[in-house]
Amino acid sequence: MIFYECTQDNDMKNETKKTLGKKLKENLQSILEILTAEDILTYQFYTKDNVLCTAIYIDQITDKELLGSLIAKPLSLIDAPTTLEDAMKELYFPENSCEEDVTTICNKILAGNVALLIDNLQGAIVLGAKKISSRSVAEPPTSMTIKGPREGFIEDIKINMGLVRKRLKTAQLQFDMIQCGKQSQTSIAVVYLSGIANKKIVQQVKDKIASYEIDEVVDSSYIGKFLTARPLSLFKQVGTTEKPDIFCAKILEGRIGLIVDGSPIVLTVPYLIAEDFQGPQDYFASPYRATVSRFIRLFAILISLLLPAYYVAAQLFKLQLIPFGLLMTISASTKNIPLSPSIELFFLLVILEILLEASILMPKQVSLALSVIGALVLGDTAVKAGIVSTPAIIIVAISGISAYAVPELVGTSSIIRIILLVLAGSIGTFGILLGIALILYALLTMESFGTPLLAPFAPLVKKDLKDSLFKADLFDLKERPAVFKSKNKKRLLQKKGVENEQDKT
Amino acid sequence: MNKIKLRQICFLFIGMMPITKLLMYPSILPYYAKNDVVLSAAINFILQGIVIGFVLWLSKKTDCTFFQLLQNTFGKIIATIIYIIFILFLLFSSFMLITEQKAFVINTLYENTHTYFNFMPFFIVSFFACSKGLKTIGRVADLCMPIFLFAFIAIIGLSLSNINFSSILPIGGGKLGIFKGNLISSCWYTDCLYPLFFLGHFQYEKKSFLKIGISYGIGAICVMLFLAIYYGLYGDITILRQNSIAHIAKFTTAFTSIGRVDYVFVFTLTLVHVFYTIVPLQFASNGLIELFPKCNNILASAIINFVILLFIWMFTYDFSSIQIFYSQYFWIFASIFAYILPICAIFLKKERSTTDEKVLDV
Amino acid sequence: MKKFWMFSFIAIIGLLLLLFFTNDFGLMDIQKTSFIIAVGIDKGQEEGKFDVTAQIAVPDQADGVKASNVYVDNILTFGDAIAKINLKTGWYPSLVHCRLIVLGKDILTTNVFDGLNYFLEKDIVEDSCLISTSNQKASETLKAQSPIGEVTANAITKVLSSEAQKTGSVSVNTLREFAKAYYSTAKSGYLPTLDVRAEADNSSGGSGSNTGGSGNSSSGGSGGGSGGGSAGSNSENSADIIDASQTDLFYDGKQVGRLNSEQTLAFNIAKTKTHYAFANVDAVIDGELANYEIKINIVKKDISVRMENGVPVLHFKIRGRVSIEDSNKSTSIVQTAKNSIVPDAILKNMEDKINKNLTEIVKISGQTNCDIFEVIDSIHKRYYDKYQAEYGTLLQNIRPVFDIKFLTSH
Repeated sequence: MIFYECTQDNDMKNETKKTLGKKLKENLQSILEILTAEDILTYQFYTKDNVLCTAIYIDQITDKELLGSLIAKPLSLIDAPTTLEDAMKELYFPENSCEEDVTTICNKILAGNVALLIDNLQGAIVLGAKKISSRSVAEPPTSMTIKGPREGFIEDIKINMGLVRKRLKTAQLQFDMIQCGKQSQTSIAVVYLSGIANKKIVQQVKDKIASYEIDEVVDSSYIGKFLTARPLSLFKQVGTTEKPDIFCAKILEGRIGLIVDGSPIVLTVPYLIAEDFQGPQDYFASPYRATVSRFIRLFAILISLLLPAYYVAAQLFKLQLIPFGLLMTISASTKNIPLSPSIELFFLLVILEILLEASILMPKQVSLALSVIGALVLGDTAVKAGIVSTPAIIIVAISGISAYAVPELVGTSSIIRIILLVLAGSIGTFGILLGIALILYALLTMESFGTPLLAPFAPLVKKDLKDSLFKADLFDLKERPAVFKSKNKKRLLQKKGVENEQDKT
Repeated sequence: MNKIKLRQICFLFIGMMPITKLLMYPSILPYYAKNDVVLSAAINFILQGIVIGFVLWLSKKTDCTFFQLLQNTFGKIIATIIYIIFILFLLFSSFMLITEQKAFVINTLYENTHTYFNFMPFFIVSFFACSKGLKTIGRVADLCMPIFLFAFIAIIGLSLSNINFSSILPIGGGKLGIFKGNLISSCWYTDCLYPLFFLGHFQYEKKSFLKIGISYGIGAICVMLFLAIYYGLYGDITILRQNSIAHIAKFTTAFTSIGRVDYVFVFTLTLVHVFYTIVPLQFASNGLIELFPKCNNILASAIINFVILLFIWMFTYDFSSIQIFYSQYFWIFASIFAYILPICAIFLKKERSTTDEKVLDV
Repeated sequence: MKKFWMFSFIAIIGLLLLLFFTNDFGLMDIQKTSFIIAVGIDKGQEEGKFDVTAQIAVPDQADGVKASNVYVDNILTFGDAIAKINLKTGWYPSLVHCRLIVLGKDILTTNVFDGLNYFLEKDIVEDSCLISTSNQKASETLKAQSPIGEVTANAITKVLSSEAQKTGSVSVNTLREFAKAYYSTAKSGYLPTLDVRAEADNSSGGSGSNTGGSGNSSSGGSGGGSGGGSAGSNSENSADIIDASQTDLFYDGKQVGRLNSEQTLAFNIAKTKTHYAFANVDAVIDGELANYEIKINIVKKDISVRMENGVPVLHFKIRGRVSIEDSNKSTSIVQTAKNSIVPDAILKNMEDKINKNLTEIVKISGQTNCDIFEVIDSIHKRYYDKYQAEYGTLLQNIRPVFDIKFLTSH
């Protein structure tokens, strides 16, 4: 969905500034001239001395019960207030404000608030009576964990902010709210810890978002694109997570987070590629296990990228790469295959991508059937029919499974895998090496808000290696990552007089 | 964009400098130096070390780039001419390295057939790298150092069971061949020129001499260890075994159930070689930008790579002639441009640079 | 700038895809390649020419690997043989998985490196490729029938494996080691000798009686005749024993002598990577002469060369632990139990036997100029002046000194 070219001109900001007067009817008309949709409702009631009051709200996203009990009822029991301030005193409502600007009032109504107009009083009282239905907080499907917190972000920004605040009960935690989207007016919370996060980056983030004008921010990925220095790059340059515990950990390291209303996926910058090799439960498992897991993930991604290419290059250009026994097996299996090894693998990889795409988009019940069909068609029938060979299927299967060891890089790795396969099939073994060299050069020159993507490896930041591919013990992670240049460097201090059990031994 | 850390120069010497000396050099050197390969290499390394020492001393005294130093001393026109000659020398020396890499790639990574096209994509990578400035050299060095050491230790480890170190005895048996070996191998010893091109792009720190000295020493030891092992492995038939990194560990791994597993490390080292072969081209490209500030990165990179590509294309089938030419005559150019002139650079006027750019942390 | 990179990216991808989908640019892929697993080199009928037998592995889904022999005769160079095999089979022959080179009986009188240089100059054969001589023609040897129906090259490879070397029965050598020795100062080397004999029960089959191979073979044509036959797969009526217990000695690329099986064992115990060996020794125990099969665990071995009074002295130092495996006389249960402690007579006789065999080898070495103990190399490295002065007579003047001590295992 791309909304960049939407031509509907409903930009209220461009209209001349208009303020409300004292006459209720005129005020109401001014607002309803802008808010013409049929879901904009008005509720009229009278004070004890028969002064007309009108509440303007939007059906479905306003809490009508609150409107009746906390707005209409108290006013109908008293005489009309003489000023808006007096009226607000009668309304026991935590979120309220007096507004006179028509555009502002309309925007607030559109956000789910109630605007209350009282005859003979200038302006309107805006009351926060939003009631937007949302799903409950649940474990995110993209980052399941066996050990560790299971909460996940949802689509509601307020709840997401609450989840963060619940974990970071500090005055340093800042939520800078900004709006983005001409039509959607999507709220975005720029989250950071003052004193820890780099203020310059916070400002850069805000400036970058402000520099784009888009109709609607459908998802946080739109904002992610705004923050990307090289939008055409195969590699992402903004970190993402669905888990508040990981989000808070990143904020505590000195990163800046962005919570976008309507998206359960929150963003973090600066992003390092090493982040994607860190699993959610690495911090709850032993450092040895975590380190082994991270190396396995690296190995898996290398297998995923290189195995199909290596298989093709070995068969076409360098048979010596394959052990003799295996060579004979491959030779026997591919004897009657009509396709060349490179085309065979390309064909199978494309089929794999189609199956994955289809299984994601199809309803769950159908996707089960689809996986059976896929397994049958590829695993058995295609081999029997002599269209593809068994080793090729094994290679593609291993490659496909390995990619999911690092779920954040699945999209990127599937494209690179095909590029390397094409290089292997056309240039050979050296082609794979050149492909890797080019990818590494691209990664080496990429930066996310001044932080090199390949840090802490290139450039080498020795201190940060403790939590990169290696995972040091918690007691060794005393300092925040140096790469973010945080002013407050310490994150773990041992209080005097408290001796660590480790030290005793 | 062009700043580099001292650490990265150290890593360049440990993790990249040795690689160009591990392809053909270990099989060509014994032709002249016989069993005294280590001795011959040691002389080359000492000479290079002296030049690097002088350039480091120069970096302590000035924060100007090499071109700025030339300008301070000779004025813009003469400085430009000298600098262009140096750029041509860089291209001249890198031409041999690239040709050697091409021969290695074709012999080692291809078996049945190869086409002219197989090597040419190297210039796409080179073009991209050259357009990204000197900063990438530093970052590549950071990345290559652990990769190189890992792969190097692995292939050395795999070859250890078959070595007969007594092959390098009697010491001094190579006689005058040792020095002839020094001359013919000059095309592999132009790395001492690189610190000159790093001048002004890195900040002299405390104990820089020691740090770079140790790093350079480690790199040199890696090469000499490799030479000794390789000669110990093949003895008098070493001269028949070119493409050394593909041969050093194959005796252990061939015909085992997992096959030629050493190729994993050979590929890794080839990758490092690709990175290091691009370094002089990056210097040349950066030099062009320095000379002609209006020339942007892409144009400079395109010019440099086009020139080299043209030469490679022209001499596609003349590897042996190139090798003979370089082994017989290159030492004359190398001794002037990589040894004598860099030492003479200490006499250039060492005025401080007017730019106040600080070296970045990363 | 963005447009430039985008355009470059698309152009490169387009070019690569074009190459990728039309990629049959003369590639020799797996289905166009034949894998030669063994090569036999014989002397050709014309002077200076060779006959070459290539054993080609054929993948078989049921049996894993089968093999066929392809013959090319009267060729000048091995490169020519490759071209002719290509012409004959239609497949491009690849030597990357060649694991065995057999030199036929008749070629050993000429410099074998005339034929082997091809394998050294080109990197196409692994240096760990095994190499041996044969008591027959190499083409006959490569037709040997394994008793268990194995491919001939594999069966011979097992006979020449490093495991066989460890037991001391075979002096295994590889292309690299043999070439190193040839190009060294001493120009000497050794190779195991293959002797293919028909199994006693099936002697009617004879060696090389291969049904597949006999039909097409031709010889004598000046243009280079060729033939073919299956190797080792035919086990219907004959099986051969492949013996490699003898060792051929080489000087300057030519065969100059041969060690018998006992000398080979002694040589292996003293010089090569033999860790334990089985040997026969006669001894009089309790007044009765018997033959004992013993196992020797080599604990330590060292050969050093020193110049003493201008004479090269070859010091052999061997330490081993011996246990009795069997004897040809039935003994009482008490005596059998006693045999766990090896009697001194057996130990002494074994020491003497090895002593004697090594003395013979040193003598053969002097007679043939084959520096099998690398004496010349050692003197070249450590006594360079002596080497220069006495190069021609070093091997003849060697004085061996033995320090061989065997102890009982228990």
